[in-house]
Amino acid sequence: MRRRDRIAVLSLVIACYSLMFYTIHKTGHSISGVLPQRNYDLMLNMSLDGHDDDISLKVALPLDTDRQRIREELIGSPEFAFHILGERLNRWGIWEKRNAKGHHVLVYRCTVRTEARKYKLPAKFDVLAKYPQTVEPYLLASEHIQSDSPEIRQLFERLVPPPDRGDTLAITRTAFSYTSETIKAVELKGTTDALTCFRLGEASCGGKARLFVALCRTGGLPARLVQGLILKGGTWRSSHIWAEVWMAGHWAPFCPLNGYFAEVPSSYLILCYGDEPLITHTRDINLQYYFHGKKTLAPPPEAMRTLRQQPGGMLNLWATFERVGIPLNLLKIILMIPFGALVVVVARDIVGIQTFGTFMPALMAVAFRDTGLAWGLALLGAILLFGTAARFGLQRFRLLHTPRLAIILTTTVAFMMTITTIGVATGQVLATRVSLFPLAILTLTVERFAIICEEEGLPKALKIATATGIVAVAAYLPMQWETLQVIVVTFPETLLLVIAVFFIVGRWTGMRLTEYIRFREFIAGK
Amino acid sequence: MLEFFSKIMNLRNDVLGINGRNIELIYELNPRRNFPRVDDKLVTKELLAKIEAPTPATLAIFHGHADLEKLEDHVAGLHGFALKPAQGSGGRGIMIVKRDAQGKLIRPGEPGQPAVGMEDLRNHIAEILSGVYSLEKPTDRAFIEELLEPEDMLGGVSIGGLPDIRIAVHNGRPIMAMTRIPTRQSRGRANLHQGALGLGIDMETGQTTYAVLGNRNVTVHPDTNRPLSTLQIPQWDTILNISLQAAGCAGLGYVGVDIAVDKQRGPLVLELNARPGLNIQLANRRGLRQSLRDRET
Repeated sequence: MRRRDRIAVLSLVIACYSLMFYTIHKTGHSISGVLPQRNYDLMLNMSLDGHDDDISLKVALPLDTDRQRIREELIGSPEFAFHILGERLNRWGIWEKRNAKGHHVLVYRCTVRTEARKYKLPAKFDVLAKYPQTVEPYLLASEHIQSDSPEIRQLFERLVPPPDRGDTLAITRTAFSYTSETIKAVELKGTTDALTCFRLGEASCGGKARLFVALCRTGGLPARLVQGLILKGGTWRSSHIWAEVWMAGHWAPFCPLNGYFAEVPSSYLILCYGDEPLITHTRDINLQYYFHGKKTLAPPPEAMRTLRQQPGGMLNLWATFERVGIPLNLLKIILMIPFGALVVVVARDIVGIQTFGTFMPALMAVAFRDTGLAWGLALLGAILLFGTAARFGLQRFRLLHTPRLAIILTTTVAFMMTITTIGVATGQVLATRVSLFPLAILTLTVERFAIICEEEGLPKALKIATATGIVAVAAYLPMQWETLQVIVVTFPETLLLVIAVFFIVGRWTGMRLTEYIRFREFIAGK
Repeated sequence: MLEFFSKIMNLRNDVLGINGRNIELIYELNPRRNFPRVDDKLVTKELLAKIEAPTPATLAIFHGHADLEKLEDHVAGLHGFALKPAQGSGGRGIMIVKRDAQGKLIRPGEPGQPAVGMEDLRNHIAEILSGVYSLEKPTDRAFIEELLEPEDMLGGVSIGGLPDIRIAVHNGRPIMAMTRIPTRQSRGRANLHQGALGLGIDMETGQTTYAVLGNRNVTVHPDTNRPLSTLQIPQWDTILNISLQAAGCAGLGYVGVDIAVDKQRGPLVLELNARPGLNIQLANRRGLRQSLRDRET
């Protein structure tokens, strides 16, 4: 590299880091203050059949606490009256309809952000004789938490030796290890109460949590049941139950099933405190429901706030994009394209792989984002096959170059539409996602493929097609890498580093890797 | 093992790869504005004519579809001709046509020597005009050139086609050369990546040295399986002089000059290349970096 190349690369790197430093300094004084956070788009989908009766549903809705933020709640159920019923700590969504007939689908959606919490328990905290009035009710036995039953009292006395009976920490430890380890974890349907759990010696989350709460209450500790969901990407039906114990003015979480002692992971979402069913509804309506979660990334609200207050607000891409209504996802696609190009550059100039079209693989990778890798590759192959067949079919007509290309383009479009239609008909998710396929470029690829087929033979053409596919996959991986996406969306100035790498590769005069094979005679002979 | 690594290191030091060629030679020595002089064969021929460098005669030029009307008149009296795109590279789009004993036009280079009708010629010209063979430009010109007859020495080893001589000229000095012999696989074309045989040439004596087919060194002719004996390139000194003359008018510091030796007319410049290929190194079993270094000292 010459001096001016070095200076260019160095300036790019310095510019990148200065901008990063400036952003951090201006926004949150820390990187974590500007990094986007994991959010979930949560959906509860309920379907039911009415038989001309009045229908009512009562569903526990996610709670907005300092640990879990609920935003953008949406109700999709045009024919049902809906309202939210606040009841002490809980929030119930009530759906009602008179003389409901036929099939109905009720949808609740929201965006949630949850945090993991780990509590530092006081080393010494005695069981109190008198608790605050708000906490008192959590000492009493209830229908499924039989803390007053002799059997549970005996269990408590057997587990906790007399000297420990006044120590909050010792009681929770013992109750936790008993319900977490001694009670076997099994999948059980329906409600398992504390006594049944003890008698069976096995239970699922609910039985374990109820027995844990019962033992705490027997020991004189205020404790309560927590019902909620374990968030994940995908679709599920089951809810989760854990517990909380009141200690020194705080409710500390405990999950005997998954072994969380005084801590709660970020995936836990609280729907309801207490033992009420999460969903109650009018009988005989054939209620089917499922939860659906989708991981998303969103800017931290604090960063948004700081940046909105800034005049200009140029620093923050999200804020700018949000203002004009461009979704974060599109921003991600756009910003990741240079990384796809980076892979292409390395593949072509350092490795020496021949591909169709310069940035074809990077554009393919963009399309793969929507179709998924397997479908994307299958589609690419199918289009190539179909387009090439069309092109050879056209050969006998001896059309001029541009109209011929236009016909291939049109048949390719028709082929994609057919695939979409078949997709819709058979319920494949792929259906609407092929729109990003770079059709015009694919058409040129088909033409190049056909020409190489004709001039240098099918094996050569297939070799280049395969190489294009491999490079596309290689470009897809960094473009899909979430950590990188987060960094780039937060600090778009990292693109300056990418440019610096382009500079370095652009002045690299060394042999490409495949050229060692090309010139292998120099190694083999003499 | 150690020997293997030292060979790899030698390869790195001596042989020029694509990146090295582009950055060190082409970007450094070949100003982009002069590329049009060599990217269009008709422009090159005009320049060469000005400095009186010998070239094959241009018999007809087709600027657009309107010129196709006179095609039959142009072709009528010819015993053979080469139909070329002005901006085609790597031998793409070149059609060699000859008259057989019955006076019918045929394509001698193709397997089975198929007959060529006016319709085929018209179509081919139309394709050339619409830029099928000129990748970077949307349109092109087509032209008909006199058919050259290979002289005996090189013609003797080539199968149906015209062998040529590629000379790499660096800053006014020829640094490496090879002769390219059409084979059955290259279908009469003298391009290495289409399967032509490359023979390295000793710059001092004009005698052929090693041979390359594809990326491999060979010692026998791929079509006849006969051992390749050393050939003396005819009129070697004239060829070197013409190559310098031609390179001088291109305005490029690193240029590949393609010269064919016609039986009657002697050495003629076919075309110039601003991005000469790298397999010339394999044909000579010598790296271009090495040659450039040797030249400096």
